[in-house]
Amino acid sequence: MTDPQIMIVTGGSRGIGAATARLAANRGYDLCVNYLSNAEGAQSVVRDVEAAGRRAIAVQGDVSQEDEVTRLFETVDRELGPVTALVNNAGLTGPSSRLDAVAAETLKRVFDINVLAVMLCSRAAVRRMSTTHGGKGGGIINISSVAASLGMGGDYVWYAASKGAIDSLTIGLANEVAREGIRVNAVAPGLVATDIHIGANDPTRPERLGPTVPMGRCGEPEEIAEPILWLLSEAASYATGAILRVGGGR
Amino acid sequence: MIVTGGGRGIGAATARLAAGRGYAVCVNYLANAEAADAVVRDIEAAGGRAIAVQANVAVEAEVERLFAAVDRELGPVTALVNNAGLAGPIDRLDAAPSETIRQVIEVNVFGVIWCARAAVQRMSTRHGGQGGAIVNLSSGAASLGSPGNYVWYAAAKGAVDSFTIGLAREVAREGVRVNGVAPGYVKTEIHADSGMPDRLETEAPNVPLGRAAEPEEIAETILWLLSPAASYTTGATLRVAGGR
Repeated sequence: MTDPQIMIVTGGSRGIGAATARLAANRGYDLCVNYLSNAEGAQSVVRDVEAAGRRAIAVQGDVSQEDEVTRLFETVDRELGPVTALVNNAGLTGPSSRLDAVAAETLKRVFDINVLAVMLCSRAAVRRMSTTHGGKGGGIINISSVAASLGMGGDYVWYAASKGAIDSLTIGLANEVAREGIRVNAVAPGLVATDIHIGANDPTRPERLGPTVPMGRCGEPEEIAEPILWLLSEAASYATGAILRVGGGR
Repeated sequence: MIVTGGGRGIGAATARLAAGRGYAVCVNYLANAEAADAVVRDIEAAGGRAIAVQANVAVEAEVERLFAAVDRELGPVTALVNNAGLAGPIDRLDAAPSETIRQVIEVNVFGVIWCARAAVQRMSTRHGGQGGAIVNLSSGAASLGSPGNYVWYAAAKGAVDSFTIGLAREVAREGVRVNGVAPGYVKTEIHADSGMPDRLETEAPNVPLGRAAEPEEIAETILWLLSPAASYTTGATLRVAGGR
C-alpha cells in the first residue's frame, strides 16, 4: 500500500491556495487548509475536499510566527499523518504605493509572511520529510511571482523583492535536500483573479490590466493549481530548483 | 504532433509518450531512418498513428517539405516539439572549427525558427488555424555557459530562450502557446556524438539529484506544457535539470 499523500497549503482558504487544495483532493491528497482569519473560506474548502472523498482539516495560524508553525505541523502530524507536500502559498502585497510612501509596518509584514513564513514552514517540512531524519521524502512548492523579474515599480517594489527572495530560496533549498528525497520548486504566477488585489487597495486590477497581458486576460486560480500539482507529481521527477512562470506571456 | 529529431533520445521518448496520449505523430529525422522507423513501428504496435519524415530542419525548403508532408498525411499540426539539436565536438572556443559553430547555430537556432514559423502559419487563428502549442528544447547550458565544452551550444540555447519569450508574446492571442524545456544531463547519445561517451558517468554524480535524467522525464515535461493543464503557461522555459 502506498503512503498517503498529505498536503499542507498555507493560505488555503481562498484564491490559489483554495484552488490547489481542491485540485489536490481530486488527485488523491488529504489536506490541511491553513488560514489566518478566513475560517469560513477554509471550512468551505474542507467541505469540498471531503466531498471528493479525502480527509481535510482547517488549521488557523499565522505562519510568520514560529510557534504557530510548530502548532500547525504538529496538528497535521497528529490528525493526518506525515506531510508529503507543502505548498507555501500564503502571501500578500500590502497597500500599493511608491517606496517613498510605504509604511515600515507594510515592509515588515510582507517580508514576514512572504519570506520568513516560507522558510519556517519549509524548515518544519524538511525536518519531517527528509530521509536524513527518517522521513519518506516529499515535495515543496513555493509561490513566487512574475513580480520578481518585473520589479513592480510604482506598485509594490517590496513585494517584488520578497518574491526574488523566494526564487533564490527555491534554488538553494532544492540543492540542499536533493539527496534526501525532497524536490523543491516554485510557480511564478502572473496576474491572477484573487483577493490579493483587495489587500493592495486595487480590487479592479485583474480586469483593468488583463488586456495588457499577452494572452489578453488574467489567469484563473485553477490555472496555477495545475502547475503546482504537476510539479509535485512523479511526472516532474527530475525537476527541482526550478521556477515555472505561469503568466500568460507576462 | 511533429517532433524534430524524433528518432532518438528525448525526441523518441516524446513521440512515444505523445502517441500513448492520443497524438498522431510525425517523427522527423536527419539521417537515422532506422531509428525513426523503429519509433513509428513502436507507436503503431501500441495502436497509435505515426509517420517518419526525413528533413534537415536547418534548411528552409526541407522544413516546408516536412510540414507539407504532415498536412497531407496526418492533417493540421497542433503540436510542434523543436527537439532536433546537436552540441558539436567538445572544444574551447579558440580551437573550435567554424563549421562546428555554424552547424550548431543552424540546427539549434535556425531550425527552431523555421519550424516555429511553419507551425504558426498553420496553427494561428489569425491564419484560420485551430491554435496549438510549441515546445522548444533549451538547456541548462544557456545559463551555465558550457565553458570548455561548447560555448556556442550554450549561446544557441540562450537564443532559443529569448525566441520562446518573444514568439509566445507575439502569438498569445492567436491560440498558440510557446514554451521551453531546459534539461540538464539526460541519458541520450548527444554526449557520445560530442566525443564524450563517458560524460554522464563522470558528471552525473555531481548533479544535486545524483543522476542524469531519463529521456522520459523530459518527455513528461514536454507533454505537460503542450496540455490544457498548462493553459496560462506561455513564454516560460522550465528547467528540468535535477537541481543543476
